[in-house]
Amino acid sequence: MTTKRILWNNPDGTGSVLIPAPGVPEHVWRKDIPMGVNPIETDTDHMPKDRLFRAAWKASADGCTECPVKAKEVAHALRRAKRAEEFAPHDEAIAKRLPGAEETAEAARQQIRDKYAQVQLQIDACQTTNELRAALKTCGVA
Amino acid sequence: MSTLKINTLSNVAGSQSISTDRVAQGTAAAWVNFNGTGTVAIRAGGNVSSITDNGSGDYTINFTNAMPDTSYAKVLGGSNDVNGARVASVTTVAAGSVRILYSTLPGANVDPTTANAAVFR
Repeated sequence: MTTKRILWNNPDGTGSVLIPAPGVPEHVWRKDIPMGVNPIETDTDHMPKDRLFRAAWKASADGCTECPVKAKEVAHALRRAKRAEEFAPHDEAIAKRLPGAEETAEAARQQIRDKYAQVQLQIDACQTTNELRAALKTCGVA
Repeated sequence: MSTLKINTLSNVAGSQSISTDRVAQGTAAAWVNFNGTGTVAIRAGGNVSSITDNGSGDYTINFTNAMPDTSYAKVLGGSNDVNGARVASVTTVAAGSVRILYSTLPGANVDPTTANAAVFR
C-alpha cells in the first residue's frame, strides 16, 4: 500500500489528490498529474482524516490544508440541508391542510427556524475548521 | 514471453468451449476497488495507475495503458456503511481515464466506503 499522495490546486479553486495504485512504478502514475499544475508531494499521515470539509481542501507548502472560508460555506450548506430535513414533515402537514395540524406544524417550524438561526450565528463566529467541526457536532448537523 | 495462438478453449470432455476472441473481449480492460472515505486508498486494481480524488464522491480513474478510444463500456458500483442509497455515474470519458461521481438519490455528492469500477473494450 503506497502512502504517497500528490496534491495540486485547480483553476476553479478546488484541490485534487492523486492516489497512486499499489505496486505501480512512479514513472507510470506521474503521467496522471495534469500539465500546468504545481504538484506537492505529501503522504497519508499529513492528509486530513475526515472529509467533512473536502470542498475546502487546498494544496499548500504545508501539504493539504483546509480553507476556513470555504469550510464555512460547507458548514452553512450542511446547516441548510439539515434544517430542510427537519422542516419536511411539517411542510407536509401544512400542504395537506389538515384541520388543527397547520397551527401545530407552524409552531414546530418556528422552533426549527429559531434553532437554526442560533446555529447560523455559531457557524459565523467560528475562526477555524476545528471550531466549525465542534459547532456542527454540537448542533447535531454533522 | 511465449505466445499461445489458439482460436478456441475447450474442457477435456469437449462439451464446453469458448472462443479466445470472446475471452479477450470479456476480460476487463481495467478495474479498481477503492475506499472513498477517510484516507482514500486503492485496495486492488488492474491496468489502473492511480485515482484522482477531485472532491466528495468525485474521482478520476487513470489507466496504465489507455483504451484505443472512448467507446468502452463502464460498469460502476459502490456502497456506503452509513446510508444505503448511492448512485454512481460517469461524468467525463477519455481514452486514458474516466471520471465518476457518487451521489445520493436527492443529488448530494457522497463518498463510498467501497467504490468499484471496471471497463470493457
